[in-house]
Amino acid sequence: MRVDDFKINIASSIEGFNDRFQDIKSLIEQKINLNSYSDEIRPVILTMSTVYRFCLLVGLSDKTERRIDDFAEFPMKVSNTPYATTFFTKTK
Amino acid sequence: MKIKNIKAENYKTYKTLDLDLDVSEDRPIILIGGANGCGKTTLFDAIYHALYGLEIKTVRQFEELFNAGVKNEGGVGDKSIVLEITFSGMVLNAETPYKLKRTYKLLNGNPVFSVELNMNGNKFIYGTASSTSQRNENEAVVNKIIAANLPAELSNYFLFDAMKTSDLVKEEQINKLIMTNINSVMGFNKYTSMMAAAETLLAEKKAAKLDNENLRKDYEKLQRQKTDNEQKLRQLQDDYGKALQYASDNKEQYEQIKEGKNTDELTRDKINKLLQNISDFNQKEKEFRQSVDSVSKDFESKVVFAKLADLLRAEIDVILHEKLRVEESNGDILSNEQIEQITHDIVEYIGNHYSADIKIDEKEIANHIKQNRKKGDLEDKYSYFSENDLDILSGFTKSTYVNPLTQLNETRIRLNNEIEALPQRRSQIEEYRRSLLGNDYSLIELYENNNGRIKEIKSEIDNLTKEIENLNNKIATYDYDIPQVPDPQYDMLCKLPEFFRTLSHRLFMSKKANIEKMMKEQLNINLVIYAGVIGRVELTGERSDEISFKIYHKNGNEIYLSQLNAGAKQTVMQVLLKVLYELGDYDPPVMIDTVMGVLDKESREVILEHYFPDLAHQTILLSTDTEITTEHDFKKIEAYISKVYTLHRDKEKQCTTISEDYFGLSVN
Repeated sequence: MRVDDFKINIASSIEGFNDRFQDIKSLIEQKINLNSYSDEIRPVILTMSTVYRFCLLVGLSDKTERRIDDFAEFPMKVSNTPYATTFFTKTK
Repeated sequence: MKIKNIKAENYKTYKTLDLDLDVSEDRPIILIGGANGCGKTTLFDAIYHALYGLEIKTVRQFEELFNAGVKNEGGVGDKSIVLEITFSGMVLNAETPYKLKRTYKLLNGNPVFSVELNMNGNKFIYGTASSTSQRNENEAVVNKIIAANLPAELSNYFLFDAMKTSDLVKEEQINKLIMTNINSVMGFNKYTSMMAAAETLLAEKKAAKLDNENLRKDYEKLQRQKTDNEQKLRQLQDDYGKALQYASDNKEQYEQIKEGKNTDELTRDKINKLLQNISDFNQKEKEFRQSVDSVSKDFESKVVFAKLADLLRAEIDVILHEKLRVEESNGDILSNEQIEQITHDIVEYIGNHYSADIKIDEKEIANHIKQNRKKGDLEDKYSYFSENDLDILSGFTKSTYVNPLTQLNETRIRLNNEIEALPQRRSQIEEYRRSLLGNDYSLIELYENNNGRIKEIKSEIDNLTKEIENLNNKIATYDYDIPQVPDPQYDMLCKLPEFFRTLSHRLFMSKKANIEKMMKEQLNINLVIYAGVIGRVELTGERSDEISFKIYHKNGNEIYLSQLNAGAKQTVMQVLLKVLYELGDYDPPVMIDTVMGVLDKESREVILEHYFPDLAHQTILLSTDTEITTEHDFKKIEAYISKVYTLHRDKEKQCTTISEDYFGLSVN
C-alpha cells in the first residue's frame, strides 16, 4: 500500500457540526492572533477546513482509545454538501 | 662782422701767425700777397677753422695739420695747434668784440681740444675735459654767436675762391652755384632749413603723437577701468552697509527664533522617533500576520511534519536498514527498477539500430525478467516500497524541522506588549505636536543668508580695492600729460612747414627783382665783354631752391653762362657776390682768393676800380704778384687798402713768415 492511496471522504456529518467547531475556531484564532491589530491590518481568520485539519491532527496525536459508540450520541445527518479537499484528500 | 686778427701756432705752414686784419671804413681792403704755395689758401683755412673748428679725431690727422718744421725739430710732444680769431659783431647796434681760441693737442696718444670764446669779457669755455653739460651749454653759445655773425654755410661764399668759379663748365653747375649762393646769402636757406626742421619735427611729433595716442588710449582705458571699479566699489560698500544694518536690526529676533527653532527641532525629533517606532511596530505586525496566515494554511508540512518525523524516525530507520541488508545479501541481483531501466535501454537500442517492424513490449519483457530473476536469500519484507518511497522516507527523517509556532508565539507575546504601549506613544506624539511653537522660521534663513552675503561682499570689496590700487599704480607710471583739449602746439607745427615754404617764396619773390636789377647794373659795369649790353637778368623759378639764372642781351637773346669764358664766369660770380652782399641779411667780411684768376686786363681794370673798393666793409684779397701787379694794379686800389702783407714760404724750415708789405710795397 502506498501512502498516496489513502484518501478520506466524510460521507455524513454530525448535526451542528459547524457550530461546535465555531468555538474551537474562535479559540484557535484567539490563540494565534495578536490581542489587537492596527486599523489597516485584519486578524487571521481560519477557514473551517483549516479548523478540521487542526482537529484531525490533534485527534491523531491523541492516544485515547476511540469507540464508535461514543459517536452514537451525536445526531448525524446526511448532507450532499461536499467537503473541501484537505491535506488528506486527493482529487484525481 | 669784421675780422680784427688771426693768430695761429703750429698750424700747417704757420709755425706762428699773428696777422692784424682790422680795416677802416674808408680803407676796407687788406691786400695779402704771396707766391703760389706760400700759404694764402692756408691763411684762408686758418680763418675758416678758427671760426668753425678743426676735425681732428686721430693722431694722424693731428700730425698732418701740425707744422712739419716744428715736428722735425722736437716732435709733436705736448705742443698744440692753436687757432685764434679776433672779430667784432653788431649786437643791439653796438660793436661787440669777440676772441675765439681753439687749441688742439695730443694727450696720452689721443687728440684733445679746448675752445674759449671771450665775448666782451664773458668767457665760454669747453673741451674734451669738460663735463657733458658744460660742453653742451657753452658749445651751443659759441656756435650761436658764430652763426649770428657768419654762418658756416655762408663761409664758403664769403671766403671765396675765385679760381674755382672759373672752372665751372656746365650751365647746371653754374646755376646750381648761383642758386646755392643766393639761398645762402639771402637767407632763403634759413627758411628752407627751418621748413625741413619743421617737417622733421612734425614727423617726430606725429610719431610721438601716435605713440601718445596709443598711450592715451591705454591711459584712458585704465582710467575707465578705475572709474568702473570705483563705482562698483561704492555699490558694494552700499550693499555692505545695508547688509550690516539688516544683521544688526534682526539679530535679536533671529536668536530668539533660532532658539525656538532648536526647541521645535528637538520636539520634532522626538515625534519622528515615536512615529518611526509606531511604523516599525506596524511592519512587524504585518509580518507577524503574514507568518501566521502562512503557517495556518500549511500547517501540516510546517508543524506536523516535525512531529511526524520524530515519531516515525525509528520505524523508518528500521525499514531502511532492512532494505540495505536485503540489498547487500542480494548482491548483484538487480532490483526491479534496474531491470526496468535496462529493459528500456535495450528496447530503445533495438529500435534505433534494427528494423522497426518488430513490435516489442517493454513491460512484458521487464516482468518476465523480474519473475525469472534469481531470488535473494533474504526476504524483502518491505518490497512494497519503491525506490522513490525509500528516498522520500530517508529525506524525511534527515530533514530538520523547526516548529514556527514557538517563535511566532514569542513574537505574539512581544507584540502584544507593544500594542499596549501604542496609545501612550500616540498621545505623546499629540502632546509634542501641541508643544511645537509653529513660528515662521523663514527669518532664520534670510538672516543666515545675509551673514553669508556680508562675507562675500567684504571679500569682493577687498579684491576690488586691491584692483583699484593696482590701477592707480599703473596710471601713475604714465607721466605723459594727457591733454584734455586739442593740442595747439601740434596744430601750429602742422602749419609751420608750409609757412616757411611760403615765407621763403615770398622773400625770394620780394628780393628777386632787386637781385635781378642789381645784377644787371653790376654786370653792365663789371662784365667787360658784355658791358652795357645786358638787357636783363632773370631769376626764374617759383621757389628759392629751384632758381635758374639767365642773362639776356638787350637784343633779346640769352647769354648762356656755359659759353662764357673763365674770366667772364669769374666776373659773374664776383658780381653776384657783391649783389648778394648788398641785399643779403649778413655783413661778413669778404675774402677772395686768387683774385684776378683768369681775368683779362680790361676786366681787371673794371674789377679793381669798380668792384673791390665797395665790395664789403672788409675785403681781404689774396693775390699773387701777377694778379694784382705791383706795377699797375696796386696803385689803383692803394687808396682803399688798410694793410698789406706778403707771405714768405721757407722751404727748409717748412714754414711761412709774413712781412708787412705787398711784395715790397707799402701802403701810404
